[in-house]
Amino acid sequence: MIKRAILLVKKDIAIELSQFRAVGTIAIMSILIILIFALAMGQAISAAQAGAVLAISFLFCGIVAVERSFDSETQNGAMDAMRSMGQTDFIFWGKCLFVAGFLLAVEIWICLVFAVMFNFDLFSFWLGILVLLCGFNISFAAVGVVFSAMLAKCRGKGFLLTLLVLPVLISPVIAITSGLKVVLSGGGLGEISNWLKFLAGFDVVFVGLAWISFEKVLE
Amino acid sequence: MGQLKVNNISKRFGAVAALDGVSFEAGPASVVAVLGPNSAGKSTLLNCVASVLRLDGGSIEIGNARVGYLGHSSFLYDALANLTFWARLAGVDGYSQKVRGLLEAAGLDRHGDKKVRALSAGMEKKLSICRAVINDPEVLILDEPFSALDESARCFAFDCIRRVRECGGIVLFTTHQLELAREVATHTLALCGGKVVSYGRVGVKA
Repeated sequence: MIKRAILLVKKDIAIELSQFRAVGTIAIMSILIILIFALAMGQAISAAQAGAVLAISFLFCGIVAVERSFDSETQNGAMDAMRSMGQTDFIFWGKCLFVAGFLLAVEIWICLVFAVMFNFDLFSFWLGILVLLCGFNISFAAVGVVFSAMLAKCRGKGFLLTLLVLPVLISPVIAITSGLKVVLSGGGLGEISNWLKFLAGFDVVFVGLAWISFEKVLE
Repeated sequence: MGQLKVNNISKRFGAVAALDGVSFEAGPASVVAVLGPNSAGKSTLLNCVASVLRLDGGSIEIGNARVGYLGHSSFLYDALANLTFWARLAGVDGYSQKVRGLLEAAGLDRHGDKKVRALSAGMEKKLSICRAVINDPEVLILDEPFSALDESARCFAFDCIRRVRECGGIVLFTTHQLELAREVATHTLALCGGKVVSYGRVGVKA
């Protein structure tokens, strides 16, 4: 199963690198979101505001990344061929791995754009940000993959995905926004340990529920 | 490969009964042509046997057989040279050689590295048949495999079916072309309104 999941990740990376569909959209979208905030708020922003701007950017760019995650499977029905192989677990884990990795890449890009536009030194806080992002991305990827699979063949899936995913992700969003506020104020990992435990708890619950429901969702 | 046993299966889509109490058995080296008018339940039956659709009732006994499946769509990724990916995903030993062999048999050896979007429709269809048989399936399921094929591609599809049958496998395919069904199939299964109208042997074999 792991071998198949990794093959799926490599395939998704190859397709994304050959088409640059999601990457192009997200690159432009992230610049626009942060530019709008930079114009509205100026460069002198507090740690709390910086955390909020980053969290909003992660969330909306992440939705675009998640929305595209099953595009290649639905295009010519490749999902059916995979399902005829008997197991669907590898599809779930492969997609989760790819989406979580892709989200992290998107978030690193957003941090770079943010650092440039706000002239904000994020690099001093890289460890805290990275740990928070990893915790957040696991929940985001698991929930996103299930809903994206559910809506893969729907029209207007971007709108529906936003409608379904955002309410489910409210708790992890609260955790990452609050955690980022602490980290960007100079707090260490010890000070965000409660938020990290909170995220870890949601990761376990969301991944478990998503895994259990994935096969039913595909049907 | 043992037998394929379809026992009283049913599948509904809302109020519509796509399959209603369908039962049949196919032994080793059988080629079953599934016939019937549009909306008879042919594709639904194939999707159920391929585990793409969950049954509402009944059961399908297929054992741990390797399944090769080709539906209405090509199941290929536009941006990839697909066969290697599918061979590796299916866990085919010596996949490079297997891919090369299949591409040669399909007459696509000069196009093996091309992405699907660079292929003609006929080539894409041949490639999709290659994908379906890449894992040497014991049960090969083909939905309308002969539509939009030229003579050479049709011969290739025939060869694939014949090879599975000679290895003792079972082939299940749908078609609206009765002549082709008689030419290739050992059995015909006629469906209408989701029910079996007839099931039996045909005289001419592939």
